[in-house]
Amino acid sequence: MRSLSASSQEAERWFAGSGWTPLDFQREVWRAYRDGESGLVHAATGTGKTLAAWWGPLLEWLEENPHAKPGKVRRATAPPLRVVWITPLRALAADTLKSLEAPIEDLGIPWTVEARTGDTSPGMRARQRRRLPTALVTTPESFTLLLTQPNAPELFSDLRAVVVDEWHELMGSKRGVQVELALARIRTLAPRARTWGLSATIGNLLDARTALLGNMPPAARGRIVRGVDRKAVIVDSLIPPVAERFPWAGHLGTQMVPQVVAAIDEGESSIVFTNTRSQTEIWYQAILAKRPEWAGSIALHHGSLDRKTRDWVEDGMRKGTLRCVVATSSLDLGVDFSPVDRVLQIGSPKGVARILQRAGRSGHRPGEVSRVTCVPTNALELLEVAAVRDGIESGAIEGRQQLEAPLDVLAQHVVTVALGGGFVPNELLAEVRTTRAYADLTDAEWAWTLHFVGTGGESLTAYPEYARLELENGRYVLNDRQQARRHRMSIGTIVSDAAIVVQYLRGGVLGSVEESFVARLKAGDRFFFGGAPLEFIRVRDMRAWVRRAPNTKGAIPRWMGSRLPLSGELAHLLRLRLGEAADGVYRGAELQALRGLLAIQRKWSAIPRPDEVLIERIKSRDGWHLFIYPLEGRLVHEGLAALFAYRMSRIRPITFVMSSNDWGMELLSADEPPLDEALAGDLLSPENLAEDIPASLNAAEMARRQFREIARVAGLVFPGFPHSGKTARQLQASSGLFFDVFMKYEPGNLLLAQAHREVLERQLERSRLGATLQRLSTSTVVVTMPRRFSPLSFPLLVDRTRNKVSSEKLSDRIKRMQLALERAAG
Amino acid sequence: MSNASATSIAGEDLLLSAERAIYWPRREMLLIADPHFAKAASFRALGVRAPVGTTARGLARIDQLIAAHAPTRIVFLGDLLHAREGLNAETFATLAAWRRTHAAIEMRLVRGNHDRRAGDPPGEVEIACVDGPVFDPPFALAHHPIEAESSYVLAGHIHPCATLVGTARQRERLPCFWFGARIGVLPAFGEFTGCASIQPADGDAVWAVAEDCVIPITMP
Repeated sequence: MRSLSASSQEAERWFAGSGWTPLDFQREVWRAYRDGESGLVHAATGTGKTLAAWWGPLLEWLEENPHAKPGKVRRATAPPLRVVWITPLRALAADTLKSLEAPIEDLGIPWTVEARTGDTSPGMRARQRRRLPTALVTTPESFTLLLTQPNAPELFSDLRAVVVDEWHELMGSKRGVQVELALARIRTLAPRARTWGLSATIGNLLDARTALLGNMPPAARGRIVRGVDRKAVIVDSLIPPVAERFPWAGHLGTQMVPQVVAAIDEGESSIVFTNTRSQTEIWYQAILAKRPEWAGSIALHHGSLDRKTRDWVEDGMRKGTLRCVVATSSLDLGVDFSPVDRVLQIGSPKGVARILQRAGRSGHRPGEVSRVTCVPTNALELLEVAAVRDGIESGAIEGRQQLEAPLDVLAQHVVTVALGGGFVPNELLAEVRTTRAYADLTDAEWAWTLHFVGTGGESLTAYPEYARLELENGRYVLNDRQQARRHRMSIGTIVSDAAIVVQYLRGGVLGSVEESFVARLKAGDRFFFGGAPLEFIRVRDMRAWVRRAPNTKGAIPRWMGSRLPLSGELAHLLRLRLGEAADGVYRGAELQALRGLLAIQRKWSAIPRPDEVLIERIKSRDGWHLFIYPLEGRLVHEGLAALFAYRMSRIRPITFVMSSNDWGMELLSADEPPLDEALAGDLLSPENLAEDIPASLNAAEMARRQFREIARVAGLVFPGFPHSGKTARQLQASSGLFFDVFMKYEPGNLLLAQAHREVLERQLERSRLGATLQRLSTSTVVVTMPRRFSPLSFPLLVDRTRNKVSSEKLSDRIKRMQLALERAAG
Repeated sequence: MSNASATSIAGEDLLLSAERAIYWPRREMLLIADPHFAKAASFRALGVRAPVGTTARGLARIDQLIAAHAPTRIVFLGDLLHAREGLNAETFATLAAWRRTHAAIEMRLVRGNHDRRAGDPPGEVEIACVDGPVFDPPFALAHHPIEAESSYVLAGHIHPCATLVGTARQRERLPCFWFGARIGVLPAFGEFTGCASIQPADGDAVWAVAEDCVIPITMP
């Protein structure tokens, strides 16, 4: 192995030249890679994971080509595709590309290294279609698109390594499952390729490894390499000077702007994180209004903005020319902004792992600590900050929940493989079952999926018009070009709802917003996007055409899917903190600031201890309100709200409208709810959940909502071509309509079953639901009747997302209703 | 069988059926708007796996209406067929067989925008196709809800539905019949169709289809 040690020396020299010494964990990864092993590396951000994964393939090449001489690198003569580097955000691709290129250039390795994402220009795509670079940086969607190319088997024939960056961000989502399937494909097409995942430290690393590398026998399960531990993290908060006047509720509260501006002033360069894209726009405007002279030196960044804007912002952060960036999770990952010395978090921290990640964006210089300053937007968020600090101290880092066998993603994958060279059903089934997500896929589910995507099969007679896939020499292939095109277009739609491009009439593209926001706009409406005040003109060709508006008040786009629930770990810590407060213990600055508010809560109602469940009943002009506070996070509360409403609605005909947040839920009804009877009966019982939960979800029509995403991924609902004619328009039907007709005509459709399962497992975290009921059933029930809305109930009152459960006959109910007069209709 | 509610429009008594059709007793006429037959078949032909049976069930619902009201004529107010792609021998055979079971009933189609692209049903289906409006005083029967001189227009096309609100923040969205001063719009008959929220003017009458009942809606 002389050549290896020679190439290792090159690595050592390169590191020495860059002022570093390879770390033990990096050497461990290189050795394992050389020995043909796959694995998972977990470490804090900015600690050398990238080089750990990248140098394995580099050393391998140096070893295989000891006499290669540096020279001009041409696409045609560079080695064929050897490394695929998957990154969850296209915003990260450019940055990753730079760090991968550095050693290549320094050592004169004749590789081409390029990115291929949704941002890649058509010209580059065409060149890549003829020949891929030696190393390709790409997103899950663009990677899957490569698998749809008819010559996919040849493309990957010399592939040595697949690296999946930020695996913890992908796993547990449908995009993660898409990657699992793509990796299984690669294991078949390129058996000698090794797979390495890079991850932050999370609670369930063994699951993360199985998801990445597949269900393998013990000897082939792959290695888990632990990298460098986190540096010290400080979490503090900006506490309002007059706590009593602090708002009880409201996600938009910008009363803290003066303190935030002062904090930005203190630092050299800051990131202000918010929880939603809408908040990014709001805070950007608020900061700018306070300090107009900062125009040009502050910026905003979120995933919906156009790439050029994002690039400009990221460049400014790297060079330190920007004083402050207001951002969402689009800046959580990867990109190294060394000058950043201050991180602020607006609104609830939501989870321990998340706040650690955000804190890690600051203090990149040696010897510095990471510090994140939380900025509560309402009073109760102060308590969440205290709880998150408890969580960091006790190391309560959340795991990532996994998805089980989503058939919509599988259906999409089967069509992908049919395009990319075709498949023999049994072979593909065996391959799919090597993934974690589909390890337990039943034969029946597989047969159904094949039938769904159009292999014809036994029930062909029932579907005369429908046989998309053709059988050629024993392999199923898809030849129809229009359908192939449509499939490729829908691959990217796992991530989000159909996106509408926002574009100036004069040409410039600003980014994209969800169709649901644009649908509510009328010509002349004003809104903010990317920090710019805009006037909406019209929608045409899947584009929202706008012109610049004079700076004035306007709506902020609300993006869907951006409301994270509180993690289970954090919820638990929150209950403990609240319990202390009930006993009069107020630890830390946050709790001291909350003393007054909590005193009001205790005086008007009660503060729940960890072994109590608080129920408040209040009658108002709106009707009868029940507030129940299990303190388990919003998703669990949505499920419990449906269950409680359903159980009470069985006692007598009644209609509930429910809303939930991270602290509890509200059940609102026009008539007095039978609470006492329900409490004496089974309201909080963990019994009969197997029947009651599905029934309550049906009653609340929650699966219908979940079907939206499934219909999109499975290709039922199609976002449409930019310039499509009538044919495409006649192919449009909403997912809700599909849900209704399937329920009526094909109740056995497994996508419906999937919708129900996803509501249970993903939306409602069924395991937490059961555990919560166990806890509640042994808790002491404290029912209070406050004269006014208590501090805990207030945020629920202003919440907007609502579900409904009713046991009244529809016609009886609507006799008491009247026609809504609203602007958006018509 | 679903219920029907009686109302009077332009001096004529009409029955509004919860099956989303109108029966006009004086003329023994059944009015049906926007069935969009073979829509699911069009989806399937273009590679989207829509369920089977929507057309057959739609025809069965017309059978029920015929059994309940015994009409001598049926007028379809447009969009009988969804798209050309869904039209094949089997669709036409189903339609023709159904037509034969009601040979005594006169049937007419006032062509809608979808019909113009899909084409008229073939001769053996025996549905007379005309461009609207068809005048049958006091009504003008049309697909597009556009005012006609000296007649009250009954039309389809927009698939109306009403958003209702009640106390305790209750909300419902239901298909509806919408009668204005000069134009009345029927809900879409087809089950595999979407609907559009309406914005009625003062004095309009709106009847919502709530499962098996048709209920007059209070205006705010």
